Amino acid sequence: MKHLSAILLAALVAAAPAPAAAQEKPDFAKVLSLVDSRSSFPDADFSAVVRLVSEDPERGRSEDKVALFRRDSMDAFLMLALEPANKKGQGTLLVEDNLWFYDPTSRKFTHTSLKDNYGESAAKNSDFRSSSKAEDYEVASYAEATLGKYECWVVDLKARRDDVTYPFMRLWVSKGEYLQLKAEEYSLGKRLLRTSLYPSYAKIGNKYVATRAIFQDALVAGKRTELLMGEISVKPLSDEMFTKGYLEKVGR
Amino acid sequence: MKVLGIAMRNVRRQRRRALLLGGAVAVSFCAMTLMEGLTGGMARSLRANVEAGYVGELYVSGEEWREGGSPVKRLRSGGPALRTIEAAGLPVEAVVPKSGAEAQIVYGGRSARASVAGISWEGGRSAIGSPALATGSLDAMAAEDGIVLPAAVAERLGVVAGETVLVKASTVTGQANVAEFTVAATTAAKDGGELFQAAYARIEAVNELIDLPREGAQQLNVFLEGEPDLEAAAGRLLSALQSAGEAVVSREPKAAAGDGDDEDSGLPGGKGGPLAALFGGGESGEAWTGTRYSVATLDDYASQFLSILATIKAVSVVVFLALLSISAAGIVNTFRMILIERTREIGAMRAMGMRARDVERLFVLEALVISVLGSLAGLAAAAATMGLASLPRFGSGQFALFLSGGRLAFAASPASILAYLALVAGVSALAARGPARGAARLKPVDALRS
Repeated sequence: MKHLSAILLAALVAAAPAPAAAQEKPDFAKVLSLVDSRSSFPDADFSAVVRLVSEDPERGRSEDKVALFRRDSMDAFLMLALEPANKKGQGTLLVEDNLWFYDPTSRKFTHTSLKDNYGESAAKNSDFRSSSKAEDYEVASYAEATLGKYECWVVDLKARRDDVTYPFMRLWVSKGEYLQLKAEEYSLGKRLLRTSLYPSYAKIGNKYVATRAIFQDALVAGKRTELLMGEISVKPLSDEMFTKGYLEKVGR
Repeated sequence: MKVLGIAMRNVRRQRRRALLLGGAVAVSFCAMTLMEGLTGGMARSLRANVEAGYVGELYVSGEEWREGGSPVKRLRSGGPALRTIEAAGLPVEAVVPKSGAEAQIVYGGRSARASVAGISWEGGRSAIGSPALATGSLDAMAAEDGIVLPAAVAERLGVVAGETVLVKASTVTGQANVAEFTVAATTAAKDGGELFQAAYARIEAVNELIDLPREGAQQLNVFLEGEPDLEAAAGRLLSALQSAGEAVVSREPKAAAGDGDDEDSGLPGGKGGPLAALFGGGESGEAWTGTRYSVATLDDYASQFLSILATIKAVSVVVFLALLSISAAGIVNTFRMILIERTREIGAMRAMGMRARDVERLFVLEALVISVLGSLAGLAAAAATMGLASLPRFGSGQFALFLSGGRLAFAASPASILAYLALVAGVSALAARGPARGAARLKPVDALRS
């Protein structure tokens, strides 16, 4: 595992051999697929410890620590709350297209949605799932821009289906490595709802994982969550981890 | 009549004893009338509050199955729902189209979650009536972007009438959408659970927010005349829809399925409740074609509260019967004493020609006079207590569901009161009958000698 700071990422972008047509007019359907595949692990399991530092104008600052386990081959993930103490043992499990929330106090599972925020944070449950932009969106328009030091494609996306949470999205994709550096998510009426920034990536084999992400709520001024990912591993995980029984066992 | 006159005279003669006996009857009758009035009034207030909160008594919702494999809650414009309601032969007073969404309401740096119900408004008037307001006026709902916020939400956001809030909700297909609304009014503090936590807006604006046609709706809410059997009315509507070839969701309770660890929607009325049908959480089950209809009733929400009231009433009937038994024992003992005290008097009356049957009737009539007068006194005391208890305003809280305009309401059914009166009289007569027969059996000579 190799962590890259933003500067290293810049060097990487500069050093990497860019696809022949990438600097001019790339095939954006492929770009979206690349963005997805860069951060997906279809051939391995993925686990990490995620720290969520949230600031809310009403609730102030709060910090959550969760263990994240992902099995992209079956589109499953498990998030197990480690901190704070009053949330310890709470779990969010995506399995067979159902997202469950488990509360160890009541020992009950409730249905929840990928569209919901994780707890009181500005991060969505869907932010912990493997990316599926190519499946969900088509490119409406594009432009070139610079984001900080990085040359980017700025791609305006339109949802392919009417059940995708954000009907419109603007994506900043780094030229060369095709990493998602920034995203703006819009409502059906094209009002900005959330801005996501991905300033830091780690390279795991030939994949990239955003080790730092910042989610800013565009409706509630001052509400933001910083996601910090560490202890990343691609070691195989037990099948049992992606079951409700496992959550119950851990909750005890 | 002569015997009745003597009975009245005897009661007057022994005022203290009659007062004690009648007082015991009055206390039990007063308590029972109060409980009858209180539970009846609370049930009536609850129904009225639910009817106003959910807009109507019957709620007809529709779901369309989408190719993507998920249902969408919407009614087809010009679909059979309205025609069926009109043709079902129900005593329909009004049909109100309604749409809704679970929303995040944002103002400045604050946000709050609330159900936003879209209903039709004519100027400042709508089916929700005239709720008590903290700020603003319902006249401002004439504007298309007007919204009435519940007190809890307005307080949390720190918003007053005239200010603009953002309302974020999902469209019927699940896309995020946001619209600006201007706060027309905020309701006065009234905490009655989810019922009083809904915000109300114009249906056209809510339809736009959830991406329905402006003239569309997710639900048709029916106001019925009088107090019809809602379960029967819902059954008739469903049968009529089925006869028209439409898919319907049965109202028969379903057996528990799965491992049972999935919580319900948490919405009032559970998975089939009026809000569940409108805001989500309803059952989806197997795929179907066209629109599938479901009918919920006011009682789906109110039934849990009504059953609590029924339990309270049942307990009060048991207490009443216990008090009545004590009164009956008092009557038996008192009339045994009267029999001993009046043996010579009975002998004299018999010697003067009074028949044994009339002696028995005299005792029974005395008991009846005491119990009926006691009951009437209890009724008067109950009426006075109810009048006084309905004066003060109570604060907010879950109890607000059972209040009418913030005050206790009483509704004792005349039929019930008459039934209790008959019961008291019957028990009193029965209790006095033993001593009365004893008195009737007395031989005049023996009685005079005693």
